[in-house]
Amino acid sequence: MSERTPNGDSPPLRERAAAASARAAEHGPVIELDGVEKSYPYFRLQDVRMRLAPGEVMGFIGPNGAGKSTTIRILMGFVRPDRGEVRVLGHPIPAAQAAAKRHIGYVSEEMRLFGQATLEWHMRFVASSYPGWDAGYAKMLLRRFDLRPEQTARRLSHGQHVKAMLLLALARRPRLLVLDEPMTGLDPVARHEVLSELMDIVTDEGRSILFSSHHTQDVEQISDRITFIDRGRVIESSDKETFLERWRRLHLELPAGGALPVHPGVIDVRGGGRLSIVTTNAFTPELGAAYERAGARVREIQHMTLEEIFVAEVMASRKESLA
Amino acid sequence: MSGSVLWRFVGKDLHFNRGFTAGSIAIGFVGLAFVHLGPAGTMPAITLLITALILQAVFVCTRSIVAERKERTLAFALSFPLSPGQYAVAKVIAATASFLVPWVVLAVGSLILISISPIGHGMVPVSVAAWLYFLDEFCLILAVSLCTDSDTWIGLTIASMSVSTSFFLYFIQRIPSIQATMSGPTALWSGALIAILAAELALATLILALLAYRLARKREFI
Repeated sequence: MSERTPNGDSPPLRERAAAASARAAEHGPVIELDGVEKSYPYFRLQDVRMRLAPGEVMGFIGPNGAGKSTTIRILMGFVRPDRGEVRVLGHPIPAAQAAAKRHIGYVSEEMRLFGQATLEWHMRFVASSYPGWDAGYAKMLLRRFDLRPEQTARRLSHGQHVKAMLLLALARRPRLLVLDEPMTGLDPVARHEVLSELMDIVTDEGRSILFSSHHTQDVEQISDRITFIDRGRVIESSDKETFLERWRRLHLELPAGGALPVHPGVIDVRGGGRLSIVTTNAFTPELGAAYERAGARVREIQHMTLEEIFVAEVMASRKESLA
Repeated sequence: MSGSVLWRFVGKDLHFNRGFTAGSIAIGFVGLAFVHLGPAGTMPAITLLITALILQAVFVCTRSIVAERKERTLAFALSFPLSPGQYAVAKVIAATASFLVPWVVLAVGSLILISISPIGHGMVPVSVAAWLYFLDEFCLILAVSLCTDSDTWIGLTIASMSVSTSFFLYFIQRIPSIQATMSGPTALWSGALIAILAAELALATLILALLAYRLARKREFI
């Protein structure tokens, strides 16, 4: 039996998660959504519950149209929910959104800067509204992102635009960074630059990040908590390590005429004849032993990537809702 | 703090609108220059003044309100520490100020020109009614721009503004009590004219009240 580990354990993430839990217990969560619902003619956000602790980085993953942006718009106060409660940095939303947004940096793929104004004008404008604006950090980001302050927003490429928006959000030194699909449409180099900057920010333990994407690779690198959403429902939310530890794919060899016993947590069974591949979200070493006691030989136990887990979660959730 | 952010947004819009505001005033002054030609210059003067004000009203509302949604800068604006309601108030203040600058300059300019030109002072009450009508039209396009995302509604409003202005000027001059005095040497404020002015002010107030009511009930801003 062999074991492959595509995502190695990362003690710093574990420590960060523990520290985040301690801070949440002390100061309360940064984001709290309870029973949030919002209906549109062809889409419904259903009973969304979510918590983000101080210093925690949450990857908010879902397919296109799953409800990520709607959830983020609700917590930013742009959209009023039909039902449910929302608190951000302790402030009720939307009622006290202005107070909450003093400490939020928000970047969305759908967001644009004022086309006729230069990046320098934007920097001055943001600085005038945020007392915590860090001019030195903004200058450093200008260099790091290779941006020219005299350039008008209209002349920026998509990648430059995203980096400019990120600069304007980061130099506010926000307590909470909300990133709604910021990597969409970026070339690999720009993605690397943006992710590198975010990785640096992650080291600041006081800052929380909500990072929405349908690209698990981006999210996986910086998140210590993962929430999956599909068709308007949060289908799973847990710390990344737990996800990666719980999910496994077992390659089993069955004796002739043998049948696999049913175990809780088995999401999918594929293959036929003597070879089967079992996907589980509740792996313990005992599961392999149980299959061996039933006569199967465990040929391999594979860790799963976050993308594989995401797809398996979504498919299992859809199968469940159909049943 | 959100109050000061609101005023920064007002300042931002005034800054972005400044070129067009200056352009509208320039077009209006060219129109006013035609008044010196006497009766022959009246028509071009009125046409240029109407053009300047309608252009300004449409530009202010489409560039600073409609375009913020279409060019997706609204999300950036709303990421600042102010509520969507405060954002809407900032838009109303900035758009109104951007419109009122050429409106006041040109209205005062036209009244001064009427008083010193060969045109009789009897034109003053009609001119005041016309200027208030432009204000109503501005309130309407402002309200439509803030309340709807529909290009059709905005287009219809703009089209109706230019058509209705001609109708308004045509009909007001055919009201007997106004027609009898408008070419006279003195400004006479007839009952009919006072009623029109009151109706115009009431209409502007009603449009702004309906706008405030609609915005208070709005549940989605992006």
